[in-house]
Amino acid sequence: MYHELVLDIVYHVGVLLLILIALLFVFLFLHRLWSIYRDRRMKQINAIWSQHMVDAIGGTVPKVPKIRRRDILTVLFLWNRFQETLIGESRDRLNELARNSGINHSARQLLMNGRLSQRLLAISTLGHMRDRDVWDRLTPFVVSSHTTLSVAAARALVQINAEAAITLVLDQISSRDDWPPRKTATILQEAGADTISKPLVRTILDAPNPIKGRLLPYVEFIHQADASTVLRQLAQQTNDPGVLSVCLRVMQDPVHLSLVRSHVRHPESHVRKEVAAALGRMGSKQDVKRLVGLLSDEAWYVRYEAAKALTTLPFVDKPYLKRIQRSVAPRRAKKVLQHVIAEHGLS
Amino acid sequence: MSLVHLILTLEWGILLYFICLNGCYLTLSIISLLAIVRHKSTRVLDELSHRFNGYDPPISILVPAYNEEALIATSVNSLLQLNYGEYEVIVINDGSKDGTLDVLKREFSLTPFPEVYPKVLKTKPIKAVYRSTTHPALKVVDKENGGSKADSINAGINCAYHPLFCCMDADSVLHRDSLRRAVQPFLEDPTTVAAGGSLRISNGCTVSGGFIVRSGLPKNILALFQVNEYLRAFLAGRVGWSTFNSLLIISGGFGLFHRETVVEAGGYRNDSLGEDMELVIRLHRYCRKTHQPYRIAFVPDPMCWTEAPERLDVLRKQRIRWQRGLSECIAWNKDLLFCKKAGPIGWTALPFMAIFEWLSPLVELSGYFFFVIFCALGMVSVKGLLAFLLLSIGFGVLLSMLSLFLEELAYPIYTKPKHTVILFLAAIAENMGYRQLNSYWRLIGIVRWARKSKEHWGEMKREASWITAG
Repeated sequence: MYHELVLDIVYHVGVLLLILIALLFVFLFLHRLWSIYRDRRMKQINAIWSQHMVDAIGGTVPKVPKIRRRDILTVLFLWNRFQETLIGESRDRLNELARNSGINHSARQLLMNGRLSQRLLAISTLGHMRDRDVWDRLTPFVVSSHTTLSVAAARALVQINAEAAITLVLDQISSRDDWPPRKTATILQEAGADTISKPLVRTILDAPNPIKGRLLPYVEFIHQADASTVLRQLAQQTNDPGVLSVCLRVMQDPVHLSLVRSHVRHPESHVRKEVAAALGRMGSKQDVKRLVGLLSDEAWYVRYEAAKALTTLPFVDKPYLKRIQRSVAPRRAKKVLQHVIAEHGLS
Repeated sequence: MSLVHLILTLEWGILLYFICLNGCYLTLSIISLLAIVRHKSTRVLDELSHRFNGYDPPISILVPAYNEEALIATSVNSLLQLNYGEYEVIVINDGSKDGTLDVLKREFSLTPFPEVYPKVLKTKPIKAVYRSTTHPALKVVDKENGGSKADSINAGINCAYHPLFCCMDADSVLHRDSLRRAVQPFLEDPTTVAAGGSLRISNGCTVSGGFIVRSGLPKNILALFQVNEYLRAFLAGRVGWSTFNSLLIISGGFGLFHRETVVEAGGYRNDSLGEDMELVIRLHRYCRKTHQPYRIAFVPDPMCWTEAPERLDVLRKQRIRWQRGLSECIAWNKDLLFCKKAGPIGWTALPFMAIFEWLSPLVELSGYFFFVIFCALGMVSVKGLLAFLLLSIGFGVLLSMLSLFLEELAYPIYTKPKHTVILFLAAIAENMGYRQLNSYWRLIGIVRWARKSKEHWGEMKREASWITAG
């Protein structure tokens, strides 16, 4: 009796499964048909609107058709794609096209009511359009725990008004570690050196060590004088080898040479590696000796970096390198030099 | 205990196992569904454009090659054309007996190079290192045969200069954007130590210039069944596990690793038949032991196409080897099972692997065996027979359909309606013989592992069963 009941249940579950499978198959099949139709439609829309956008960039004001609701995302995507590849006036012309065709209104609606992907596309659009009216709506997104949303909103705010946005953006960069460095770099680069130099220097100097290390690479986007000041100050003061390493990695100005040289015998091998690389970038003739010394370093990557640095110094040519190779005693120094000389020959 | 009691206990045991197994798979599918929807939504802006800057970490692509003279030139050529900022390609010729090295020398103008590299991992001796005079990003390491893919990759890791390395097979066909997609987890989360990508079957696809230009389904029935298997394994399985940082396998066909962490963890293990899974579990173990925050991620986008065996004997060898590899990994890491310090992998993924992936051939085949016996003894009613078949086939097909659904959501590559129909029919047909055969092979794998019989890493015969365009 009990056994029969179990069998009954199993049997009915099996039948239910069959129905579920049939429904899933029908759904998948119809979805596939719909996807084919959608892709075809997207191709048509892309072809039409690409032409309008090319015309707009070329300076003519095209007469654009009304965008149907179902096509708005396709057009928005295409428009953003154009924006990402353009610079200067062309972007303004695309913005004009967007205003004429009502793209900005659609983007605002999507910002309010869209799904995540639609909202992201809307944020990007409104940022490119430098739409000041959405400033207050975008600000809460910057502090959102959703990384992509937060980064997108920060970029949009910087595009709209970099000076007003930079404090909020730098606060986020220093207080959270989830922003991908490459996207952060894009935002700071777009904000421009004039806007970010002073606030970034201030933020770096005020930040604790681990955060300093995270922020330092971005000094490449600020004015060289500001970068030099902050790098010198930090490299002189810090006891943290991590921070020192990053400072050395981003130093480009020969004014730092004496500071770089002072760390040539640093106990941490990763610091010595950065010293070798820095000497390769900015070194003078008197640094050849230091680099030759590093060729015998116990750490492989310090030796390799020192050898590479020697090849990059403008006054060290191949015969000079060969002479160094003959004169150095340790076998590992000779070998690493032979390696980079060969590498140099190939390139 | 009477015979009836024994039968009932067996019936209940197998039914319970079956419910738990399919329940877990269904749960994983649902988790994967949510993860894929989220992944798709957040990726929309990345698809707009991608300008490489100094913040994209350079990558070393490691290509172990053993007797690959037929395909190696095409593979390397396509690898040299990937859409990524800074990367190098390192081919490791593992003592090939054919003309692999000669082909490489000829096609890429190789010249001996006095390479100096840190010997951080132990491998068979390296005979010579070559660099290409025409392609600066190409390096060829010629070494003595180490008898395993692990030895080749370790040699490649020694010679790799970049912070990340990508491990792949010589016959794998990559997507132009594979590296760009696979590196995303490393950019988004600096604690990422490894990232796997979705593998698809190249049989039936059209290849031109080393890239897939048109996707298609294989005509060979075995390869067709494997299309569904791969979709299930990658989309329903690995996406699901990665959402709670419990991914245990990154396929040897394509994976991106943080070099320093892999070196610190000891590199690939030479004596393992499942070296890819073994390494990933060891990375979990190492990061947990050193209290290092870490993430092992999985990107659902299709990144790499691999050739599926089309012959029964080759497929049999592959499956036996996989099951032996799985057995080794579970045995070597049994201390992590239900261990507090092992975190989520000790309580979810590893027990799942042990109970459902490793033991399932034994339970499944026992189920079939007893069922046939009971039927022969007239102890099973027609209704019972129907119920058993409905449930066993039904769940199998449902899981395949769910993975098809995930594929449709994630990144559909089988875009014709007839593909949907063919894959649906294959999902039904694979339950009528193929699945049972697979279980049988896997059981052989377990037995061979238990008997410690010798097994080699082996060499898969390449059929090049894709279609070459133009």
